[in-house]
Amino acid sequence: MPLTGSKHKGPRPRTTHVILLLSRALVPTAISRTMPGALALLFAISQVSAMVDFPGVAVQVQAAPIGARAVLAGALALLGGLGSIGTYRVLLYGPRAGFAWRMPVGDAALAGAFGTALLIPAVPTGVCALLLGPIPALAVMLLAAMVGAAGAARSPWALVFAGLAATATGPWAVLSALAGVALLGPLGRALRDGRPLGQPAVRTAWLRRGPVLALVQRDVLGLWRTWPATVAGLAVVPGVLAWLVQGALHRTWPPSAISTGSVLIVGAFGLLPAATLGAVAKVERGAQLARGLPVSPGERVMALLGTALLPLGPVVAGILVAGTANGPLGAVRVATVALVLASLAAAALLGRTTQRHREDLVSHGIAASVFVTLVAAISPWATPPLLALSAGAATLAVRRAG
Amino acid sequence: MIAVTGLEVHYGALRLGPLDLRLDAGIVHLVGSNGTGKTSLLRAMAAAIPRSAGTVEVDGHDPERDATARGRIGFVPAAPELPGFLTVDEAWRMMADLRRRPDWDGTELRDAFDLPGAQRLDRASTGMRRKAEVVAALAGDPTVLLLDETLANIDVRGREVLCEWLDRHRGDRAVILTHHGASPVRPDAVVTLG
Repeated sequence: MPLTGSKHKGPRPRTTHVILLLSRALVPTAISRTMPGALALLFAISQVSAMVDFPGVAVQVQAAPIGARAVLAGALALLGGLGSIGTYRVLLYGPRAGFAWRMPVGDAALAGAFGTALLIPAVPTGVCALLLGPIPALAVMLLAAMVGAAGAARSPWALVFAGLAATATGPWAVLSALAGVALLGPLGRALRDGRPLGQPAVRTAWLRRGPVLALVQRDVLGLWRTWPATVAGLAVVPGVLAWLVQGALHRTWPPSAISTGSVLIVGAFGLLPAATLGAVAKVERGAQLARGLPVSPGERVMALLGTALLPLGPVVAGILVAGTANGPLGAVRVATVALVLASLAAAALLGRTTQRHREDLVSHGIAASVFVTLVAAISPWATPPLLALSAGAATLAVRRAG
Repeated sequence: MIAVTGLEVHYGALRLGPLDLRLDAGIVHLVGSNGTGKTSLLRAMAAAIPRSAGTVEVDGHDPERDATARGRIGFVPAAPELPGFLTVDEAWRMMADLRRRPDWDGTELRDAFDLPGAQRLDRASTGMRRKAEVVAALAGDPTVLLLDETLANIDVRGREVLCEWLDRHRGDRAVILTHHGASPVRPDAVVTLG
């Protein structure tokens, strides 16, 4: 029987019956998949609450500028939704949900009928959003569930719902939630179209700017299309963390030490370049460095460096937005550490793959990254040797790529 | 356009060569039983695997050392090698970029093959993927074409399109193709291995 959305024949079952049926089928799955994460979150909160005055923090958050609260609400909904996409996909397309698609109900009713089960994976997000107040927390939880469902359907509506969540602060939370409910129809349509059989068309603008950018684009597309939630998280979380930590350092450290703090923050994310290159190697199954590609060793390494530097971009941006990198010299130190980490990752990956086709991470790349971080944090005078190390690693990588 | 001198390939149990071949333009049909080294020969010419001895030159340059020479070779391997997460259009655009011809437009050829540009390669049928690899191999107008069992799995219309293209360009391209049975396009020479 063709699935034609709200166009159906025959008597329409009552939506309450559909909700009950779906709940019986899906709620146990939702609970069992959400429970480990929820318990971990509860444990973390119980531990952190011993050190942090949560009510005080909540008061501070609610007194923060509207822009900061909006960013927090939107980011929570986006991260909560995208982070639990796996759960949503099981709920929406798993064997227990199969019968739901055959139910002759409209798009909005279908999305609403899923609601009971879909809200459960969003509970941890709602708990975090309590910092914004109880009503905004409910609105953010509801919209996070919609972000997750739309994300599981690979629908751009996920961004609309995240944007709505950004407005769910203060007295507007109720209005945002109502606007979200009013958009259940498009969500239901996205769920129907996004079924595995639907295979929505992929359209991406390809920037045509030469071989290096072509290879970087290939790598980024591979990561994005394989692990969209992880990539989205990497685009947001490190930057926000760097911004928050840098702000905290600025309040507690003397100004002369802030630049070292910036370097330490970049170094703390030292595994990201190596992990990114390892992930690309896994996605492309060794074809990443195929011998027959018509690119020179230098271009090959430049492309690897570009891909490796991407996850550090949000970190550096977070530090720069915090405005505490301690002037141009501090910015140079931060950029140097990022470059060293990327160069070492590229050299290590090439060293491993030229010897044998391995798709996993590179142990000496990890060790070198940690070493570099420690060295870089000791003294500003470490910058010239670090630049030399970066150049050496890049040269080694070029030789291996040739 | 392509000159092979004393080429030897030792790949696993395979011992191929020494082999000499020179082709300025035209179509060579490479034939031989399974395991005689047709694929290894094409892969060595395309610098996709290292050669054990001898030289390969494309317009006077060694493709193993020179990226520009590699860019003059369009290679369609027997098994798909383009990343499956790319779409048809992204695949040929990437290859055109890598060959430093970002202005190259493959939409006409893609349409002639009846390929949807937004189709992801890993969700395409075997034949569609093969046609997408052909369009990507032709991106940037390489002067040497190495086609390894390319016509297998391609539908009748696709074969006609490719054969017409090969026939039209036999005067300005060096084409070496492997195909079991009679060549679907009239070859200028037949080389037998084994």
